[in-house]
Amino acid sequence: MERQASEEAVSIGQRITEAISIRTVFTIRLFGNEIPISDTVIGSWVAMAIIVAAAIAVTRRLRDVPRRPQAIAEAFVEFADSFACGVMGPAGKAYAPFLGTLAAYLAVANLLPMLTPIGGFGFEPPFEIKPIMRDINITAGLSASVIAVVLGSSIAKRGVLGWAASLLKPVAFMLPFNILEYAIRPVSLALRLFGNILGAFIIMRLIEALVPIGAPPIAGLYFDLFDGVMQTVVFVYLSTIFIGEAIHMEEAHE
Amino acid sequence: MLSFSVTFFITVANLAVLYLVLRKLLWKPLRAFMDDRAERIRRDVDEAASVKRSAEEMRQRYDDLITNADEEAEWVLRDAEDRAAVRSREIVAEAEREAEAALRRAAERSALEVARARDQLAEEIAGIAVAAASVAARKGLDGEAERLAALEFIRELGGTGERSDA
Repeated sequence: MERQASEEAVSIGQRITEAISIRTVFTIRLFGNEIPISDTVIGSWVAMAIIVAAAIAVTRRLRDVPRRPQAIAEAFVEFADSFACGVMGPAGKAYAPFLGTLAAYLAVANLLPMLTPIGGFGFEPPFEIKPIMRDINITAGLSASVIAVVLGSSIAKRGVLGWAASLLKPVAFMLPFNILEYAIRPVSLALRLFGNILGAFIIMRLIEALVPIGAPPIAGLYFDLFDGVMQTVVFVYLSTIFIGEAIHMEEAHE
Repeated sequence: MLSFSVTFFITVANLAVLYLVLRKLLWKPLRAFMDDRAERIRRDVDEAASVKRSAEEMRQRYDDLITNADEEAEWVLRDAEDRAAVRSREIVAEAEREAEAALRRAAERSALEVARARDQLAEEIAGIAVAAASVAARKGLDGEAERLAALEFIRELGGTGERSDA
């Protein structure tokens, strides 16, 4: 009996390890290099395709009195604009499309796995959408992009020399810490997103393996829906604050 | 899972592409459309306000006109009455003047007639006197004979002489 239970635990562990592993689906030859395309990259392409298709469908025929999809798109654009402007001031309008893109990408990518049917009792789901944020290369790529925008906005605001001088503020002693911030922020952004989504994914797999009836949909409301939305909000909110700080650093320090 | 891979660069490129595409396909057209719509609505509201203002002014003008129309009508009426009174007085005065003139003319004419009749009468009396004198001269005048002579005289004058008998 004990042995059977331990075997079962091992098989659940194996299944989870298998589930979170990243497979290379195919490779592309580019300039003589083999570029492996993982399932997470394909997942992010699917998310991008959904977003772009929705954008095209909504803006194809704009009406003065908007129908629901157009109203949602208008609300999304207006919210991104007002959110960015609220944090960064009037300069925020230029960054709203970037933040909106980030939000749409994260939301779609995080919520897409909810469409996977739940298996059990010999039923194998015909398809499976795994969260792409379980791949730290994806979250790192996103946070690196955010930090690049932060850096770019700071340099655009005060020039390269001005940016270098801003590292010495408020006192020269702060230089190493200010440089460290450019490394710590993206790492924390990437790890928070990666850890939360991966953790939620593993917990959901455990719940599905142990209590396949009743529990998964309820637990999924928290671990898939709430956590997915929450991580999107946190990531975008922190990105906005980082960019806003980079723009208004002088005002904050003076 | 935790090993570094080319997926990192692909993700950076993916996000950049998605950003450029969404900015062109979603933000630009939607912002332009919403700004244009807001501008149109603002213009329409302004226009409606100005139309309303002018309509109100017009209504005020008409109200004033109608209020004044009563006063004006009263004034016109009073003016007409006044003028009519003046005119009637003039007409009466003129009529009186004319009547007076007619009376005066009639009086003058009748006085003239009287004078003319008096002259004629005098002439006739003179003729009668002459005729009477000639009759008297022809006959001696006594009681009965004088009466008859007078009758004859009257007959000569053209009368009947019967009235004297009666």
